[in-house]
Amino acid sequence: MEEFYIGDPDYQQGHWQLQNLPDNCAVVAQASILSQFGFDVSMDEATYVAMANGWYSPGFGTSPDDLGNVLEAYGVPTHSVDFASIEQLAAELQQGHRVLVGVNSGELWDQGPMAEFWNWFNEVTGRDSSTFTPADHAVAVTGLDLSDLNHPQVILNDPGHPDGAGQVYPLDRFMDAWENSDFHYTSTSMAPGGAGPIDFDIARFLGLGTTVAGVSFGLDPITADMAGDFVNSLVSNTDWDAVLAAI
Amino acid sequence: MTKEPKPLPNLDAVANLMTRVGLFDEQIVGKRDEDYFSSIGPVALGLFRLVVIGEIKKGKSSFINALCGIPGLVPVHDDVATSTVFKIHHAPEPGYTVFFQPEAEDKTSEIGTQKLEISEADLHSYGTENGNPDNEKRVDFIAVCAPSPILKDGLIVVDTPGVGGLFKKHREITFRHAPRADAVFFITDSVESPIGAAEVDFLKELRRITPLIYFVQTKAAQVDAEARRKRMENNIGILTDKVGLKKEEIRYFVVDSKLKSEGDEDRNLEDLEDSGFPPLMSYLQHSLKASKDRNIATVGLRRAWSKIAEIRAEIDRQKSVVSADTAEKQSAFNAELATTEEKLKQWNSEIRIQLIKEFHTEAQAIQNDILGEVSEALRVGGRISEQVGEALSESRDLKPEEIYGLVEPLSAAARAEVSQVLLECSQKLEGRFSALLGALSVKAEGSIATTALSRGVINNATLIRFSDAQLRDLAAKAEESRLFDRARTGLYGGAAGVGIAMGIGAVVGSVIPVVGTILGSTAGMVIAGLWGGYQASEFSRVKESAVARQQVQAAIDRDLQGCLTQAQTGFQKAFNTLRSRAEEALSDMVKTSLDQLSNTRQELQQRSRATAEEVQRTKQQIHGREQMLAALQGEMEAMERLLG
Ligand SMILES: Nc1nc2c(ncn2[C@@H]2O[C@H](COP(=O)(O)OP(=O)(O)O)[C@@H](O)[C@H]2O)c(=O)[nH]1
Ligand SMILES: [Mg+2]
Repeated sequence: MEEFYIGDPDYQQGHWQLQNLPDNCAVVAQASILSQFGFDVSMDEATYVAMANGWYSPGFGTSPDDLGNVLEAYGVPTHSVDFASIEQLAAELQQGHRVLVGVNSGELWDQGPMAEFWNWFNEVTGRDSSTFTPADHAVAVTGLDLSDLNHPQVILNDPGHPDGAGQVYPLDRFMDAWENSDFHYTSTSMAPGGAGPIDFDIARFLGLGTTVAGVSFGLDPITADMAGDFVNSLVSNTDWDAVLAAI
Repeated sequence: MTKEPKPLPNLDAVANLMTRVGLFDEQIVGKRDEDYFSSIGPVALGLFRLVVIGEIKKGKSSFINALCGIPGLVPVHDDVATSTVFKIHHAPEPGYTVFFQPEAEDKTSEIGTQKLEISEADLHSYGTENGNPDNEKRVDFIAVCAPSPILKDGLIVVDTPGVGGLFKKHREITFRHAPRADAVFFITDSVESPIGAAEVDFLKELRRITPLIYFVQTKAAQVDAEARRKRMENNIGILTDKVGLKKEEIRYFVVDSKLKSEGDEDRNLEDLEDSGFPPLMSYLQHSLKASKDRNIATVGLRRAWSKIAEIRAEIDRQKSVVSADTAEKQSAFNAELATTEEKLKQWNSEIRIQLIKEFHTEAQAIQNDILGEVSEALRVGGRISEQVGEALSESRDLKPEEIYGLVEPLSAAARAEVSQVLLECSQKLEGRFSALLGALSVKAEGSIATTALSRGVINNATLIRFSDAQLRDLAAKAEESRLFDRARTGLYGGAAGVGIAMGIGAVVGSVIPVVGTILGSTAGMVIAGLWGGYQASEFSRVKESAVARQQVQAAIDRDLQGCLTQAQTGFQKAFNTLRSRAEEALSDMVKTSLDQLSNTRQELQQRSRATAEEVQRTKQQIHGREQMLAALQGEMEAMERLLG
């Protein structure tokens, strides 16, 4: 079978780090991305920056709202999408962007029969939503393996798992875990230099998410990435004189 | 792993979605809706105004430097006193810009036209009492660009000059900066004295202007744990007993700015934890800023909904054009368009005029109420004048010259009261106007819908989203000042409403500067007005102190009269802006609808000449757009559920 990847999981695997505190997964995941952008930022330093700015609290971790702030602090622009589709996420990977998502760790990790039981229980009792079992864990999505389109796989760098570098999960299982963050993702708005080449044509990917809905009808797709650039430029073009005069 | 229970509104994600909606609209209409895109700015920025207030040397500037993680960002008091306000915002490169007050006579010069970039070394000559005694250089404030991560999502920090017991200056700072602050941090310290009498008075006054006051006790590491705790308990006791705060409402943080800055140097987590900053930062981000973000997100989403409705109507319109696939259907459609145009013009000349008339009557009533209230307080013999009279009558035993000495404190107190009245009235005005404009927009769009609308003929995007009850509810909430931002733009579903809403900020916008000038040091004017009288009484020393009291009262009355005139002008300006905005919005609405009608006519003509293949392509395109719209709408709905 022909191998077919979106993203560059192999390259990113080399930057994986295991989190050094019970609840700094989001911080460590960002540090691992920073190192791909050429920043020499230790886990401790990233943790310091996050804690000093209120983006990480020991015992609580990082709020989903603050995912990406450490990257931004080092000057790596990001954008965020809630209720995203897997196609939107694929579009980011295709451009070489680094993508972080919130997941429910219990649903992602295989923790034996009881874990499966609770997953099943939550599902059948209609509790499989962000309200009842919110996302509690942040991981990097490094690639999609579409070699077998009947069994697509998601490749993650998971800072919370001892063997977390390049972990492979079936798409279904990933979607179940991702749903608990209301399908939130934060993506860098640019690709690091030195990353592998990206040559996947998104139009080949099946499904009609927001991003690619138009593609098959000859419309130019409007991507979260385009919108992200627009939003970032709005912020950097703020007329501070007017804002400051009015306060 | 994280245990944070519920995702907060992510403004970045909201702005991203709003942008995609706008780009989609642009794709369909072929033109960028600049007005819509300009509404994304505030969401992307997520402005949060944090004002730091407190007595001199308590550690305000050090606290701000530690908060921003940049030592020396604003000058720390050693032997020189800060004399100006610093407004700190995010920028990739550090820098300082002095903004000067416009010349008093030169009313035409715009704020921001007189400014000067300076280096850090020059801060001394513009920002301190030594370098700029009595503010002879007429500095308004100094803008500080800071490459600090905490400022990146729209946080602006305002450092105020240390004020040692100087009541008048306290007031000026309070009235100028507190009304629009999203949070006021009141700084005390762990070493010197607990909250004193002057601070208690100040806090009482501050509370009348904003409920959003939080307490920070600095210099924690200079004393031992027991002493800091005692100080905190002592202060909280004072806040409850003397200021009248409820204990459970008080948010009180104990920090050490020096320790935080030391921790920053070598990224020492232990120092950071000991500095007390992490819980404060977390509270600032997740409680204070998050609730403001929630409001901003709600307003932004509402705006996007009205855009979505416009897009849907536009797609419907395009659909109805392509589905007119026979000559018969096309001529029937044409006839329908002609009738609609006729009705719309009729609406324009009859109902619109009627609505504007109604609006003016109501607006006039509001205006009368508000101006009545202002005048009742400020006029000669009015409430404030009477209070001055009472204060004077208590000074019966004083010598004439002592009574003359009361001019300054009494006029300062009177002006503070005036400012208070003006702020309250402008808030009331904003609430009532919000409701009125909302009702106008609903009525206009509703009546256009019933008189002139038929499906697919004109864009019915502007259909009513709010019932009367909802409007009343929102208007009532708007009276609580903190909901202003939300009510102002969130009230309106329709296009007219959005157009009108842009003007409401003008109410407060044109009153606050008035408050500023009233508090500005025009006390000299009062004394000058009195001077002749004072000399006259010097001349005949036998005169009773009653004469002195009369003269003081007359001088302050004269001053109040001046304030009243200024206030009336300010309010009048606001009323006029609102009126013309409302009228413009209604006219725009009609014009847009007429434009659409003529577009549809043209498209219909093209349609009659189109080949089967072209029609097929258009149909496919419309189908694609419907899919895209459905996807965006799905995201919007989900996002809305998240906001609750
Ligand atoms: N050790 C220690 N010193 C502080 C702290 N905050 C302020 N100071 C010192 O107190 C003095 C006054 O501080 P400053 O920030 O200028 O006070 P401001 O007048 O309220 O702005 C300076 O000498 C600071 O170094 C603190 O948290 N810890
Ligand atoms: Mg200071």
